Amino acid sequence: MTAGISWPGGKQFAFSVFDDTDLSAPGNFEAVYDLLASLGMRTTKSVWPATGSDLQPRSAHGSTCDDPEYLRTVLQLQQAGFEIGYHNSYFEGLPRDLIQEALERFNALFGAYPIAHGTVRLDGREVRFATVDDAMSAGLAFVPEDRDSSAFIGMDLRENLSAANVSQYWNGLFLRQRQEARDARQTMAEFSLKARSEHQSFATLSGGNQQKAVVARWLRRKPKVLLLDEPTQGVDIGARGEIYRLVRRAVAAGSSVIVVTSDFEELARVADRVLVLDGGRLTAELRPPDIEPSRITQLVLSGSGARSPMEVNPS
Amino acid sequence: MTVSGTIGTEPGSPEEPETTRSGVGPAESRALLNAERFALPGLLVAVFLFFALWSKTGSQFRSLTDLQEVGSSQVYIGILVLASLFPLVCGEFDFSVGQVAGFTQIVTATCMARFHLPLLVAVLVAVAFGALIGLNNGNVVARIGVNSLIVTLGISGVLLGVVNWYTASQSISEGISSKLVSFGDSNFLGIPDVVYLLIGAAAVVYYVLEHTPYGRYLTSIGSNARAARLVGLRVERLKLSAFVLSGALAGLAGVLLVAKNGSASPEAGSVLDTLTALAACYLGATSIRPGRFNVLGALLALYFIAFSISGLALAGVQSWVNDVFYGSALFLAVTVSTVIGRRRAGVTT
Repeated sequence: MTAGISWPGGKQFAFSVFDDTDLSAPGNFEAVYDLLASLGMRTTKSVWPATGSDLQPRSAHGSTCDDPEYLRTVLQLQQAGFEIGYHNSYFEGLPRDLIQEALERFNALFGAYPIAHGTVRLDGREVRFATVDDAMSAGLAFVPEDRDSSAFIGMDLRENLSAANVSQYWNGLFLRQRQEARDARQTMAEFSLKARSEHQSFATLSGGNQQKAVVARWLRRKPKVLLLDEPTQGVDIGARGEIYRLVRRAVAAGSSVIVVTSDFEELARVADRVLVLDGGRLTAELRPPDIEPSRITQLVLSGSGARSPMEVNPS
Repeated sequence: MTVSGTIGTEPGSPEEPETTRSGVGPAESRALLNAERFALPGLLVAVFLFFALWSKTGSQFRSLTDLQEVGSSQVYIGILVLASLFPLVCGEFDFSVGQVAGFTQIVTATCMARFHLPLLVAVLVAVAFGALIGLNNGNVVARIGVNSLIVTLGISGVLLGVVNWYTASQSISEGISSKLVSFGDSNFLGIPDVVYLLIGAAAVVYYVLEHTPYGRYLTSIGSNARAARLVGLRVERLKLSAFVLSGALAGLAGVLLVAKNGSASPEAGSVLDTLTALAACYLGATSIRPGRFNVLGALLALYFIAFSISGLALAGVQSWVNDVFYGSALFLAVTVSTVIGRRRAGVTT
């Protein structure tokens, strides 16, 4: 795959409609899309897969794919080359069953969003995970972008460090809390975690130390693949270096690490291989000695300034 | 509204200097922490000594029968406290525990009086009914995602109606196993039998919450459900199980209600008892392990309230004061634990 995007029909650039604007009635957005198409622009349509009090607030008065007419229109759009996106893939507090159900429905209608094309292979074998637990057992580890999704704020440092391997301390009768505390102290030393003790409340640690602890939580499991999503956002310089030093060490010990970051300086410093994605498509690949911030910036911008054509509405 | 298993905390702000955030030094903060931890036990001892030594109340307050009465009268609420802890720890409310007990006391009495079943079977049926109601609550809360406060309050209303319909608002006092009734008011080594039961049940709940992975999982969910999901926990299933345990324990509390009263009355066991139990849970969360719901703290809080009210009654205070006392205890407990939670999260108000 080379740099530069090839759009169907040899179009020059893409255009995204983030369409909470359409009130989802076909008549409302058709004209807009027609206009964009006549200008040679490719567009995105995101949809609500199913009707349900949580999946599609009724107050929004929008249609969903439960409406046959709406669905027909959306399918036509997809045939015409539109990317079909998925509204509200994540809700705080929404039971997983509902998310799962909506995803499956979306999958059946449009092909899965999470894996749109291709396969995920681990050690050469194709894998698909039904639950987080499955993925963890297969050797995956994931540090999400925000600590709202990773920090157990009201618990202590030790409990945060062992959150992903609690069962390891169960001897059939008791949690071996002394062993857990010993391991916590060891991790604190290894990661230069600054805390009064392993029992310090997580809330009172600095952002950098919290993030180091979250990364440490997963490195403890010696993962085959470590996924880091913007691992140093909101982390002070010292902790940044520390985090990457330890990630490096995990790599040396045999882990593979995938980092997603928008900080190109950082990327150039830490990565062995850089892939540029634009609109969910692989547009360029860099290896040393080409990995330089200016080169990455150039490649990203040369993606014709296009915004991601497939955008998941995260609200 | 959901409660947080670790109370009133918010994640730290993103940009932080590389220092710990609390303004106080380690020694000072440890002293503060210890003061916080032992404030409630201290208060319990102080209240106890005050009423035991005050000339107006002392002689009766100190009498063995009175102490036994206070001890055993709280066992039923004590079991409700234990029942409430499971959902609270994972960030949910079970408001139905009091009414579930009210329902299962009728179940227990009916099993014995109407169907002439042995005591053990009656107990098992009561606990099973409690667990079943908990299963229903948990299903609606965890799988469908309805607010637990609403679900459990709604169920309470339904149960109250069913109790009044089935009993025609009459008490059941004939045909109750005499073994159960005598268990309700006999003592061993000067301590009421039912208090041993409470201690035993508390020990089991303490063990489960503090020394098993299951307890840790529930605490993690209460602390941050999203993060819990991302470390592989089956959040819905675990929440559901917390409600089942809560229901089963509330079912057991219903049996104790029969033991205590020697009969089953449609008026016994209500949402008011839930409030008392919740007051103890929240008050207890300011102590022993401040910022966390914990068994020992909650039971100390329960007896702190009980001894205070018993002492006040002996001092001649009118009975409406009890309600005010319970109410303010709940109010103060929630306020104080929220403040503690905030401070521990380093958030200043």
